[in-house]
Amino acid sequence: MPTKPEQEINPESSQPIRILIVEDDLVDRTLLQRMLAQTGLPIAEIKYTEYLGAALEILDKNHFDIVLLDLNLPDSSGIDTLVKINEKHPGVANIVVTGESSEGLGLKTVSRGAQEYLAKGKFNIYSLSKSIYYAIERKKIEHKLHLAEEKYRKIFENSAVAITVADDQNRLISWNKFTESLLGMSEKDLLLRPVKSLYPDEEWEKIRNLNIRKKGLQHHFETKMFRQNGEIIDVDVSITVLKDSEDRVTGSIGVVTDITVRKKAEEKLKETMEIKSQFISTVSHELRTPLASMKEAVAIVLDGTAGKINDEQKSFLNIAKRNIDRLARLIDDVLNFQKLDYGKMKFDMQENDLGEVVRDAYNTMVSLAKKNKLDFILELEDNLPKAVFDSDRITQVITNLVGNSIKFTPEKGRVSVNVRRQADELAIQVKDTGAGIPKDALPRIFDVFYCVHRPGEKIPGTGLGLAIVKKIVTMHGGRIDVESELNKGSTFTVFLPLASKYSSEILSEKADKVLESAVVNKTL
Amino acid sequence: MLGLFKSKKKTGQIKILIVDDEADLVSSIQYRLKCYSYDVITAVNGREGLEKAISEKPDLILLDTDMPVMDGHQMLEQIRNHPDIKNIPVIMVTALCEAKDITTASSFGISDYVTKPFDFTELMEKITNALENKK
Repeated sequence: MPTKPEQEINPESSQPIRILIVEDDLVDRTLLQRMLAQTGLPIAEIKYTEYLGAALEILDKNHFDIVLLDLNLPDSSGIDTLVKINEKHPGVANIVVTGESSEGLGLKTVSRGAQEYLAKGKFNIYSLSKSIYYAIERKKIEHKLHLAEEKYRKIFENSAVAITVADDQNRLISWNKFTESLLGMSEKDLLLRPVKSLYPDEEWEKIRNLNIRKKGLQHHFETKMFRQNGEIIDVDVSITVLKDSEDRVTGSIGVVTDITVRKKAEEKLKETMEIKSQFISTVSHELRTPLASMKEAVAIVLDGTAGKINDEQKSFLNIAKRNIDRLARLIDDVLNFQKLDYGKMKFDMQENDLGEVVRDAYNTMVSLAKKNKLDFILELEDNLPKAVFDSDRITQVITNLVGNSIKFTPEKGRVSVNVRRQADELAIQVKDTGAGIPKDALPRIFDVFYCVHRPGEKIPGTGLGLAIVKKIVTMHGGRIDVESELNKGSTFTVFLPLASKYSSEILSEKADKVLESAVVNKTL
Repeated sequence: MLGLFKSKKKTGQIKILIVDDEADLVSSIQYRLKCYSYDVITAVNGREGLEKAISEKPDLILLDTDMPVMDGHQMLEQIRNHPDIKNIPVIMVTALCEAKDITTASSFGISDYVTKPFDFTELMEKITNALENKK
């Protein structure tokens, strides 16, 4: 090519170059120096030496961009010369310049770290300058790659997770230090070990069924693994399948995290929750029996079955009766809440007419509202769409909210229940002109065992009603809002989704149906 | 309020067996039922209950679930497998309102159930219904 070397090389060539010539032949060295002077390369310095030892010392002390290296020196010969330079100074570019011209040696020097190979007498100024420039650039890239590789190698080596590489036959070919400590295995134990042998049979079967190598490229799962001593550990595994350009599987990379401690903690927690749940359930049931005896005994006296009683006696027995009922309600609430909290409450999710359900609930409350001399109103929007919900649970929600409103609204007040469609939801609104809730109490009213204290209140709540309401609504995929002003009234609004996007935790086992059939199923 | 049951009188010949280990509860139920002229016999566990059921052949059994020696479920199973007493209506009285509890009982056929604590009115209604259905 007739172009000048400077133009051939890119503008970066303006950076001054420092060259070390390692050549024991005076003629060759002089020739090289002369040619270099003519290349037009921005040379900052040219130094030379006849010995490898001296070259290494010079490189120790000063920075050079490139070494022009004769392989056969008084103190070293052959490919060794190059290897030694590279070992000690991997960041410096090398061009091997030697009289031993053969394709074989050329390739060999390049494969052992030289950036270029020039045969004496077979290169000109142009090819020399081009080689120097390319060698330096190549070395820079190589060095960057080396740093990056080293960075990832360090990550690989020092990771606190086990990283393994398997070949196309699922045998281990590479791993980091952590793998050895995690599995308690040595290099000898691991090299070419079939991956299969690291897993208990039934776990391997599960992994095999994932069809990892056929399906996608990445998989993540929890499983169990053997340690060398036979101990089984819980692990979290990520597998990445390696494929070649023709989509053939060439191997896989596995990242394994020890989750034994977490698993044990989870199990312990589950156990504790189970014990707690069992405890609450047993205690609640045990409380029912004495309560039943008390209730019956009080009732016998109160209703006059055991003889006439005066009004004063009656009023005191009524206190006892009221509080027995309150205790019974509290036990029911505790059990109810506990079941909801542990996901043990079975929901019977069916397509229902919300208007109808609300009307039924409203009707059961009419007499109570009348007794309290309240204006009790029901407003149902026309053509309400059906929705999927557990009608018994939603009845419980409505009864609870309306019950609260009736309880906290003074005589001649007003309680209204309104059902309407609002975008993708059905809204049930329970509004009263009652006592209202203090502002600071509002954020906490759905908390378990939180009670708004009102002086002179005859029967305080259990502190579970609204918590249960909220839980039921949330498990239906809905939400509940509250607005309230002290002494003016409260408005609770329940929103239920129209589409059945209710919680997947909800099991549609029909517990209530079971109860019904228990009664219907008479063998008599 | 209890006039309802009084009107269904003529209960002198009707015999009810209460099987429950809770003496306090048994005594008040017994007191009530006697007020309505029911003949009441009691047992404190399933085994005793079964013996009395066989010897006395009551018209109805009020059966608690949770008892020592032999619980309500076991006794129910025995009743249903005994040719002489298999058709006696049984009302389960339970503190366990779990569905599984009721399901177990229902597989052996119960007339009804009440959960503790119950209203006597509710219990009386269920007793009356069970006796009506028996006829």
